[in-house]
Amino acid sequence: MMRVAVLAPVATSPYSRLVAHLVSQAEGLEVVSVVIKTPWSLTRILSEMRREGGRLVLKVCEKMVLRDRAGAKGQESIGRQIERYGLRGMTLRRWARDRGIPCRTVRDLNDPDTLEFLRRAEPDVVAFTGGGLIRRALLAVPTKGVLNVHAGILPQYRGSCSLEWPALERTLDTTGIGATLHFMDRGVDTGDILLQERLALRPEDSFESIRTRLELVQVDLMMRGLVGLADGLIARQPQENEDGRQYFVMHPRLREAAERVLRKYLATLG
Amino acid sequence: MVRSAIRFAFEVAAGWLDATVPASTYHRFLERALATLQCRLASGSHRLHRDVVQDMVLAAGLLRGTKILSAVPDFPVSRSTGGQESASSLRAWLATAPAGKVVSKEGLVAGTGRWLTFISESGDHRMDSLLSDNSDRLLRHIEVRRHKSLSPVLAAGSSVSAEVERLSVSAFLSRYARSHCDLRALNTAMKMNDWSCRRYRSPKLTREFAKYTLAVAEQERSIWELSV
Repeated sequence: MMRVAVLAPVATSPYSRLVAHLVSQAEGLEVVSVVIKTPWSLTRILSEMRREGGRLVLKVCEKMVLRDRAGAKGQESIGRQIERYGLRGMTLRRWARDRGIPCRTVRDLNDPDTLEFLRRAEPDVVAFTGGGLIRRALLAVPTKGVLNVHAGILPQYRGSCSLEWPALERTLDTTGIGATLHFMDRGVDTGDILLQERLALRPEDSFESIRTRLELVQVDLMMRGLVGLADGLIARQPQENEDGRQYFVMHPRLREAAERVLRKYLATLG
Repeated sequence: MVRSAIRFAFEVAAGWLDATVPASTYHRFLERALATLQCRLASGSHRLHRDVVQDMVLAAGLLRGTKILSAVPDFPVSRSTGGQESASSLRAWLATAPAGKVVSKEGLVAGTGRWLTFISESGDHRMDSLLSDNSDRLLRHIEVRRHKSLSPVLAAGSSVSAEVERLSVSAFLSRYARSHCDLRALNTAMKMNDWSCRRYRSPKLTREFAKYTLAVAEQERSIWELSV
C-alpha cells in the first residue's frame, strides 16, 4: 500500500476533499495523514492580499463561501463530483476524523511541529493540493516526493495565471492550456514531470469555464499519478531550467486584454 | 439567486479593494504632466534640473505618433543627448554589481535602470545572457517583495535618489517588454507604476516626478505598441 499524506489550503477546498476521498477509495493507496492550512492567520491574509489584491476576495467567495457549487447546468464540475461522493458540506477535517485519519490544522506547513506530524505518518508521497510555498525540509519527508498538479503546461508556463498568459501571448495553438502533474522541488514548478494533459477549447468557453473543466483534469491527473507511482508504471521527465519561464499574477488591464484575445480565438473555433 | 447575490456582493468588495489604476487616469496624468512642463518652459522662469527636462521630453517623444493622448506638446528645447554611457563606464558599473547581479537581498545596484536600458539598446549580443538573467531576477524580486522591493539602493556616492532609481527600473522594464516582446516585464512595470501613482497626484517638476512621467509613458507606449 502506498502511503499518501494530503496537504490542503483550507478545510473546505473541494479539490482537496475530492483527492483525499478518491485516494482513500483507490486500490493500493491509503491516506495516512491530512494537514490543513488555516486561513485565519494574519500573516497569510496580508501576504495573499498583497499578492492577489481584490482577486483574493473572489477566491474566498468561491472556495469558502459558495464552495460546493454544482456549476452550470449540464456541465460536469468538481462540485457535482463532491455531491456524487456524498462530500457536500463536509470539511476535510471532518472527513479525516470520521475515518480515524490523523489530521492537523496549522498556520505554517513548514514549521517543525507540522514536519514532525507528517514524519510520524511515514508517507511515501505527499499530495499537495495547495497551501503556499513548501520548503526543503518538507520536500524531504516523503520517500518518493511531493506531487502537485500545476494548472498550466510545463515547462513553458510556470508560476501564476497559466490560463491567461498563453492567451495573451497568443500561444493557444502551440503550447495551449492544460495541466501538469509534477514532483515539487525548490524551484517554482520546475520539478520532474509525470503526466500532462491539454484541454481542448470550445467556442462557448471563458476563463471561468476553462478553469472549471481544468479542475476535473487536475483531480484526474493526481489520481492517475498516484496510482501509476504505486504500480511503478510511471516515469519522471526532468525539466531543464531554460525550457520555461516563470509568470506572475496578471495585471487586470492585461487580463482584460487576455480575455479579448481568448474571445477572438474561440470565435475561430466556431 | 442567493448565490448570485452573494457573488455580486463579493465582486463589489473585490472592486473596492482593487488598487489598479485605470488607463484613463494615466492618460490624464500624462496630459497634466506635459502641460505643466510646457507652461514652465513657456513662462521662461524655469529652473529645472537637466534630468527633469530630459525625462519629460523623452516621455513626450514616446507618446507622439500614438493615439494615447489627443495632443502631445512640442517642446522648444532640444532633447538632451543623454548620459555619459560608454563601454568603459559600463564596465565600471558592472563591477559594482556583485556576481553580475543587479538586485539581491542586499538591495538594488544604483544605475540598474539606466544601464540595463543601455545594454538592451546597444544590440551587443554578448550581453544577452546578462540582460535576460537580470531582467528575470528583477521580475522575481519585485513580484515577491512588491512595495518593499528594490530597497535599499546600493549607491555609493550617487546623486540620484532611491525613488528615481526604482522608477528607472520600471521604465526599463516597459522598454524591455517592447524590445524583447516580454509581456511579463510590462506586467511588472504596470504594477510598480500603480503602487507609485498616489505619490504623484500633483504635478511638481521634481526628478522623481519626471522619472515617473517617463515610466508611465514607457508603459503606455508598450501597451499601445504590443497591442494589449
